[in-house]
Parts: sequence; C-alpha cells; structure tokens
Amino acid sequence: MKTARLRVGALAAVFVLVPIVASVPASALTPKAGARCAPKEVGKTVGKLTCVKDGSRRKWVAAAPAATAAPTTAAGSASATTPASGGAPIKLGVALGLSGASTANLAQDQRLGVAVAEKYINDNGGINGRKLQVVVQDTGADEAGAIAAFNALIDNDKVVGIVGPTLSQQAFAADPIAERKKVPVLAPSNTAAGIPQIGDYIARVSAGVATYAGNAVKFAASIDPLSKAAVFFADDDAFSRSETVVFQNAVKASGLELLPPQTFKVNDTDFTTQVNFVRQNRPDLVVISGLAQAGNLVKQLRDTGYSGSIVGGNGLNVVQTFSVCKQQCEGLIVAQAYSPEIPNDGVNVEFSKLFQADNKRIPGQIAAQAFTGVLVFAEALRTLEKDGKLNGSLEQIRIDLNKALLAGKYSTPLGDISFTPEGEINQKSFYVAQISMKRGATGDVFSGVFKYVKF
Amino acid sequence: MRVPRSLLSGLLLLSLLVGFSVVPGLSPAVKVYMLTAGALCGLSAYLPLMAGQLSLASPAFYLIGGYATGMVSVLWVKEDFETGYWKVPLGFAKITFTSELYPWQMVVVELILGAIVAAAFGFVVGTIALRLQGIYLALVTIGAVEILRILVLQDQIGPFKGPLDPGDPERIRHLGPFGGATGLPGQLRTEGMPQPVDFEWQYLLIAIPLVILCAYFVFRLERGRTGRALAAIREDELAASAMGIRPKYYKVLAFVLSAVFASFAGTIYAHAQNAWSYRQATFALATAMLAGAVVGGTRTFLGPIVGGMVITGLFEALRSLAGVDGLPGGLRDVLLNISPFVQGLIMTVVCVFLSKGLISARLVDRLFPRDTTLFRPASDAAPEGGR
Amino acid sequence: MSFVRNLPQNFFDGLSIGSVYALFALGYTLIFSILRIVNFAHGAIFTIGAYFTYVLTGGTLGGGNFPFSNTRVPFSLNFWIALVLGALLAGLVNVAIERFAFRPLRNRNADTLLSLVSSLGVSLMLSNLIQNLVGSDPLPAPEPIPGSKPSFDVASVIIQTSRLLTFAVAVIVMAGLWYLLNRTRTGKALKAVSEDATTSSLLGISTNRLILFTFMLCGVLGAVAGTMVSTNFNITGPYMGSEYALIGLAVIVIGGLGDIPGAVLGGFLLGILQTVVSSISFRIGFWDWDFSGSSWKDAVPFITLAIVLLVRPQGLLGRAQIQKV
Repeated sequence: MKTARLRVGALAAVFVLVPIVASVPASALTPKAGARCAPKEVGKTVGKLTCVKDGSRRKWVAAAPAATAAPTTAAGSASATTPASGGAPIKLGVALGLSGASTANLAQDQRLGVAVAEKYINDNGGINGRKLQVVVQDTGADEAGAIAAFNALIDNDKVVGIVGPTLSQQAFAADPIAERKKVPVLAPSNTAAGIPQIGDYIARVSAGVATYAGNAVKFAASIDPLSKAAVFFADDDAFSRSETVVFQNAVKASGLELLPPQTFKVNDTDFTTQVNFVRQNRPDLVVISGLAQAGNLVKQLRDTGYSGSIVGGNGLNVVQTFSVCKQQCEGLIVAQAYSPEIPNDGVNVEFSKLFQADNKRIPGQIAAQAFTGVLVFAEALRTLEKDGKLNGSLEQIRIDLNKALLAGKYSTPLGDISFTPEGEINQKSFYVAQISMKRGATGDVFSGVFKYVKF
Repeated sequence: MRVPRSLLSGLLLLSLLVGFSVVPGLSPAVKVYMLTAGALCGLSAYLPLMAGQLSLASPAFYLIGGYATGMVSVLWVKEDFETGYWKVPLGFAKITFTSELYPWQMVVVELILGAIVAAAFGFVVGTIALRLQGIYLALVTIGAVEILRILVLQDQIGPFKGPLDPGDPERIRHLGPFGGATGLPGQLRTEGMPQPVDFEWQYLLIAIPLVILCAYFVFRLERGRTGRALAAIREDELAASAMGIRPKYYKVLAFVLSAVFASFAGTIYAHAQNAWSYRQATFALATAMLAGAVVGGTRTFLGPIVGGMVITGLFEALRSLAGVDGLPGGLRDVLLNISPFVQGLIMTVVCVFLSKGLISARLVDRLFPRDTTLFRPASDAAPEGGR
Repeated sequence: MSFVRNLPQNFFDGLSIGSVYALFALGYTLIFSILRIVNFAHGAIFTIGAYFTYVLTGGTLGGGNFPFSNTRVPFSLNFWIALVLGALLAGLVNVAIERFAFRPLRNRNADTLLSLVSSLGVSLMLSNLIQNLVGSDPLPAPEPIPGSKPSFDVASVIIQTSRLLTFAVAVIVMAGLWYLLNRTRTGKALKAVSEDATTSSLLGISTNRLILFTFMLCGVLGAVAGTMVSTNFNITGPYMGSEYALIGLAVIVIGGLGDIPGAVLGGFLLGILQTVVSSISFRIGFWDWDFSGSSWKDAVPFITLAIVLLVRPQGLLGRAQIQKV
C-alpha cells in the first residue's frame, strides 16, 4: 500500500513538474512587457520594466529607451537580442492557413505573394544591406492553430513582426496575443469589422469591406437599369455576414427593391434552392457573399438561364473562382482593392512580372495584399535602420517598428497607402472589375482575367 | 520478459512527456492545448468506451464549455474601465472583485455552469443513444455535434438578440448570445476573452491540477464498483444485466461524465485561446480525440491522457521541426503541411501493429498496484480483441 | 405557397443528388455486409476518383509550389473512357487500403473499433497526400458531353444536363450491380458470404479473393460517384469527400446496415429530403426570426437518422438483429 502511494506521488510529480519546469522561462519570474501590474505597483521598476498607467490600464512597459540605447547593447547580452549587425538576416513572421481545408486556397495565394515579396526586397538591397528572412508558420483553419503559430513566431523564431493570419476569425483569437507581447501585426486579408481596433499593435493592409464593396453594386446599377436585387450570403462565415450588410445597404441606396436575403453555407456546392429562388422572383441583380466555392452558384444560375447582372463579394475575388464557374464567370462584377492592370511607380508592374514569372498566372488581390504586407514591413524596417534603431533589444525594435510602420507612407501594388493611428489602412484607389473568360487552345481549358472597368 | 516490457512502456511514456516538454516549439499555450483538448477530451472519449460505447460527441460538450466561458466572462461579468476591476451583476446585488485580473472565482463558476449544461446535454444524448451501439451510436453522436453547431448559428431569434455596438457602422446585424459566426467575444471585446492570469504559462497552474484531478477521479472510478460494472457491460451486456448491473444507468453515467470532462477542457481553453466560435467543434477534433484514446490505449485512464497529448502535440512538434534553421524550402513546406498525414499514419500503424496502444493495462497495474490479488481484470486475462 | 410550386423541381434535383448518395453508400454497405466493418476511407476514394478522371481527361492541376502543380498528362482521353479508367484506378487504391489497413486486423480478429480508427487514419493520409502533391485549388470539372446545352425546360421544371447525366449514370451502374449480384456466380458467392462467412468458406468460396473483389468494386462505386459529383459542382479540393463520407454513413444506417436495396432507398430519400427542406423558408414575426431551410441542410441527414433509429432501429429495410446469447 505504501509503495503504491509513493508511486502515485512520484507519477503525479512527474506530470506536474516536468511540464512546469520546462515551460517556465527564467524571465517569467520577473514581469514581462505588456502584462498588467497592480495599482500599488505604479511607478515601480523591476529590471528594465516600469509599471505605468497607460490609458485605463496599468501595464509593465520598457523603461525609457534613451538610457539603454546603442552602446550597452552592442555587447549583445540577453537571448532576446537580434544577431548583431553585419549580414545577419532580419526575421519577419508570416502566419497562414496552409493546411486548413477552408483556408488552403487563400493561404496558397498569400504564400506565393510573400515569396515574391521576399525575393523582390532582397534583390533590391534588402534592409539596407541586411537580408530579410521570411519565416512562415501554418495556422490551419482554426483559432488554436493561429495562436500556436503566433506563439511560435514570437517566442521561438523571434520575429520582428507578423503578417497574418488568413481569416478574420483567427485574427480575433491570435492578435490579442501579439498585442500583449507588443509585436506589430499586419493583417493581409482580414476584412471583417473591428480588426484594427483589437489593439495598438494591430494594423491591416486589407481595407474593410464597408469601404469598397458597395462600388460593385453602384457599377452594376450604372450599366443597366435595375429594379430588383436578390442577396445571398454564407451564414456560417463571419466575413460574409458582415459583407452582406454592406451590400444590402448599397442595394437600398441605389433605389432597388431588395428581396429577402437568402443564406447558404461556405462549403455548399449544390445551390438548387437559391436557383429556384431566382427563377421565381426574377431579380435582375444577384449579389453573392461567400468564398470561392460560391462560384458554383454563379455557374448554376447561368446554366439555368439567368441573364441579369451578378455581383460577387471579396471571397469571389480570387483566381480560383475561374476554375469553379469557368466560362460562366463571364461578366461577373467584383469590387477590388487591387488591380493587376493599374501600374504605379513600377512596384505593381514589378510585382506582377515577378509573380507571373514564378507562377505563370496573373496575381490577384489576395497575393497582392500579402506582398504589400511584407513590403510595408520592409519599408518600415529600412526607416528604422536609417535611424540606427535596429540594434537594440528585440522588444524595443518591435515597439519602434510599430511606430515607424504606422507613421510611414508606402508605395505598393495597392497604390499609395498609409495608416490611421488605429491601424486601419488609408487606401485611395479601389477598383471594380468584370471577369472576362477566354477559351484556351485545348478543349475545356479556360483562362480568365479581371478586367478593370472605369466608372 | 514481463519486466522489460513494462519498463519499455514506462520509459516510452516518460520520454514522451519529457520530450514534449522540452521541444523548443512548444509554447505554454500549446501545452495548455495538449492538456485540455488532448488529455481531458481524451478522457472524455474514453469514458463511454469503458462501457463499450463509441461516442464522437465530445466536441459538442467541449463547445458548450467554451461558450460557458464566453457568455459568463463577456456577456455577464463587466469590466470597470476606470479601475480595471470586475463586476458581477446579480440582479439584487452587484459583486465587485478588486483585482485587475479576471477573478478566478468566476472561472470556477464557468466550470460549474458549463459542466451543468454539458451534463444535461450529455444526459439527453446518452438517453437517446441508449439502444444504440458501435457505428450507429457513433453516427448519432456525430449528428449531435452537427445539430449543436447549426443551433449555435441560429442565435438571432428575437428575444435572444444580443447586444449590439451601436457605434459600429459595419456591425454584424444579428449578433446573438453566441456571437453568430464570429463567436465570442468577437467585436464585443476586441482584446479577446478576459484573462485570469498574467502570463500564458500560468494557465498550466490551472490546467495541470485539473487534469490530475480528473485523472485521479477516473482512476478511482475505474478501480471501484462503477469501473467494474462498466467493464462488465463492455464485455457482455446481457451477462452483466443478469448479474444485477443496470446497463442503462451506467451507460448514461458514462456519457454524463464524458460531457463534464470535455466541458472543463472547453472552459479553460476558451480563456487561453482568447476567442470561441462554433468552429471549435469539428469532426476532425472528434477524430483526434478518438485517435488519442486508441493510440494511448483504451483499457486504462492513463492511455487516453497520454495518447490525447501525443496526438494534439504532434502538430506542434512538426511545426518546431519545420522551424529548424537551414532546412531546404521544399522540405519546410512539406513539414508544415503534412501533420494530418502523420496523424493518420500513427493511427493506422498503432491499430495494425500496436493494438493495445502505448499504455497497456499491465503497465498501469504495475505503477498503481491493486489492493487485492483476488480480482484480475478481464482486460488482462482476455485475449486481445475478443468481439 | 412557393413550397408546393417548387416540389417537382426539388424532386428532380433531389433524385439527382440522391442517386449519387445511393451510389456512394453502396460502397459502404457492400463492405459492411461482408466484413461487418465500416470503411471510413471511402470518402477519400470518392475524392481520388474525381481527381483521377480529371487528370486522365488531360486537365491541368492547380497552381502553387507542389510537385505536380501546373502539370498535365501528355494525352487527353474522352470523358467516358477516363471515367472508367479512373474508377478502376481508385478501385486499386481501395484494394491497397484493404491489404494494409484492414487485412492485418482481420487476420487477428481484432475489435471493430480498431478497423474504424485505422481507416479514419488512411482517409486522413490520402486527403493530405493529395494536398501535398497537387495543392488545394478547386479544379474545373471535365465536360461529359462537350458543347451540350447546360439546361432545358420540361414543363415548369428546369433540367440541368449534368444532373440528368449523373442520374442516368448512377442508375446504369446500380442496374449493373444488381445484375452482378443476382445473376453471376461471383455475386451469389458475395451474397453467401454476407449471409454466413464461415459456412460459405466451408463450402469452398475463397473469402480473401472475394473480399479483394468487393473492395475493388466499392472503390469503383465511390470513384464514379465522385466523378459525377465533380461534373456538377467541380472538384472543390482534397477534402471534397469528407462531407459525403458522413452523409453516406447516414444513408446506410437509415436504409439498414448492410442492406443493398436499403442503401439505394436511403440515398434517394435523403437526397429528396435535403433539397425539399432547404427550399423551405418562413418567418415567425412574433420572434422576429427567419427560418432558412438552407441553413439546416447539413443537419437533415442526422435528424432523419435520429428519427429513423428511434422508430425503427434496424433501418428502413433492415432485418431486426437477433440477439445472440
């Protein structure tokens, strides 16, 4: 009996101690930047951190950087310093849903955009001589994966900033972690409302849907006299649900009659119900908010003889749509934050050329935004390097990088952009494109392009 | 031959534990995930298996536990932005916790509330599923998860229409008590779920004791009267009922306990992961839980715990492998993408070559010797498989 | 009442998708009738079949940095030839699955739980393998009859050509299966084994060869179902089979596990129920609540399943199981 108790105790000890001991870093016993501090600790300094009142919260923040700047850190003390200058690459993190069933399409395009950006930046001198190294982590399609990827990037890969994650849903889970650890995040494709508001360190290069989704409806109304609109949206997708509200308002604002909105599921492929709805109510405009699979709805509508205008949301704004609705994509109207046809300062031309050389197809908005995310980080890092702020501790670099990032102005494939203090993108040009399909040389093969339309 | 085998398994177990703890890629958050989604959900999949019931409903209970966290900490408990203190409106009174951290007392409340709702749901599913076995039962439980997921998305019914942020022009129109497709806290609290701890590793201080407590409970259950009754039902239900064991009672009990463990996991993990949505309950998670139980071994409580942690930690182990500097880009991409393949491989290989799983009943008996030598469990005596 | 007006249309569309469910579920039920196990990898076979046919018709694979990105075979076969060849190839994959994931367990007479988990593992491996080899882009469906009209009207019902073809192919394959099972020696042997494996092996039926044949046959059924679905809705990616995998299971349980006519009946029933339910939408003003049937579409198989199991636990056409004491 006694030995049994002993063994239970020993096993419990193994269970408790091994993970705890292994997971408590030495630094965890002293406060970390960003953690909250108690009211009585205001003004107290422990190590390099001071407890200050920051708005309504009390937080541990790095003590005044001026005192500990250049000379002391040259010696390179703690593990949390970037490798000393010279040729050591600067690490930038990228978190994408590569293996997720519902995110793989998007993430694949983002991965290609990021790869092109890394090449483009390093071919053009890197960060003033130092190489930019992009570290990609997979998030899967869920929140848990996004969090794990963010943690791995911040704690193990020791990146200066993060581009990602793929879905807005994942951003709501993972961004607060980066915010607490004071790591700047640029969202390449999170368009749902509320993303930049997550915190000071969260910004996005993907304009919120409200800014431009309505343009497509306005354009459709301008080419044809319309009277009745049917609106479809994927009700299990946060982004589609917020996009459809914008579309519905745009439809009403254009003076059209709005039929009761109809739902479907993100992964639906059989749209019999929706097709029947259209056949009965005979709208002359159909507006769809979903992901690329919703191209099947476009195809089935056209197959069954619907001939009115179709407006697609941002989810349909990917090249994968072409292979879903094939020749029936012809004429589909989408609002875009990016157009491959608009040259500006050569960045877009260069990006488009590099992307096509690598992938043999024209880049879409998703790839362009991922490219922009990396490019913006690189530009901000160059500014930092010029100001000699790239040699401090990693934590300080991240804080400075965030400031530089939000303050800068950038020339990107998306046009000239900057950020609001909150982190929302200021983008001047939005586009409306109509899909044009061409039958290829061999039988069933179609190739499509987004044709930019003036309006 | 006996000693080396148990020694081998023991060493394997220990090296797995140590290995997973020191892999550089494993952040505290991942370990919390391994302990909650892996170990607790593994236990949750294991309990019905004790009675020979194959249940895939654990993700539904996991989902309930997480929503308990979301609804209590975001919709009920309010943060005072001036002082940073937390207030709990009770209708007749208001309790104020003078702490800047989300009060741990409320985490306990969440655990209890989540467990109650999950137990009720588990009772309903368990009762409906009473007559079913094997694949029939598995399917009905998959269906239960699917139906719950859809119900959560239908939360825009009038009386339940949730709070809206009127200042937000782009707000999601129907944001119900479950936050619709975005989940909780979504836009209601952009900083994510309220945090009961300062640092992520401190979640281990909650998760580890909880797992140990649950493991100890199941251990005692397994060795006691209930465990023997469940084993008897598993081996032969008809014979068991002939001996005066009530199969209905014990089967439903197993389901309810399974629900409670999964909801614990959801409650803790929802805090740690900042956000919760209907997407947490997937068929892939159900697969992983079942795989965890089978890989670890389905005859003792320790098997599902270890197996669950191995399966959930696998993804992260591969991730940190991919993070090793100097790997060729192609290999890196493969390592990042290939974890479902490796999980599948482990499942198949263990089933085909190691059908008792990593932790055999004998090993557990050696670690925790039984009080009496009279009773030998059927699992050790019977040839493998049986039915 | 738009619901009634839509019934003929929904009935046709339901028949078409239901025929695919039936075809797919037959692959489950045949294996179950012989081995008393469920092959969870059947959904992956469905996906693989669609990919095989697509590749054989000369389609270009999706973009990205995967080993087979942007490649195509140097020839392009007629759709119908590709369908047959692709289905046979998928059948071979299924045979390989039997050899590596099921036979060792069967030889040991292991718990059915193990074979279930092991086939789940295979299914994960196969889908992930596709993803790592060709990426996850959706691929355009091959056209069965190039240049055909996409749809035509019959009275008030609009008939999409691809759905009509799907229905026709499914019915032809099922008729062939009926002939095989009832009019050939192999079919009769199959039925004998499903009645009583021990007695039939005593009577000189080679069980192992028959099991390999069954897996081949089931692979073909799954692959044809996958290809026909892809002609309607395209290849949606490496995970396109996972949804059908669960619906197919519901179908066979509703029809009666291991019962062949039951699987056909269950498939058509679920197909029609699903289209009809998703066309229902109404509003309860009192609660300010819109019921939208299409949101509930995914739950229809499981709700039906629960009801059937409560009312008739052995399934619609299944025989009541005799409890062996």
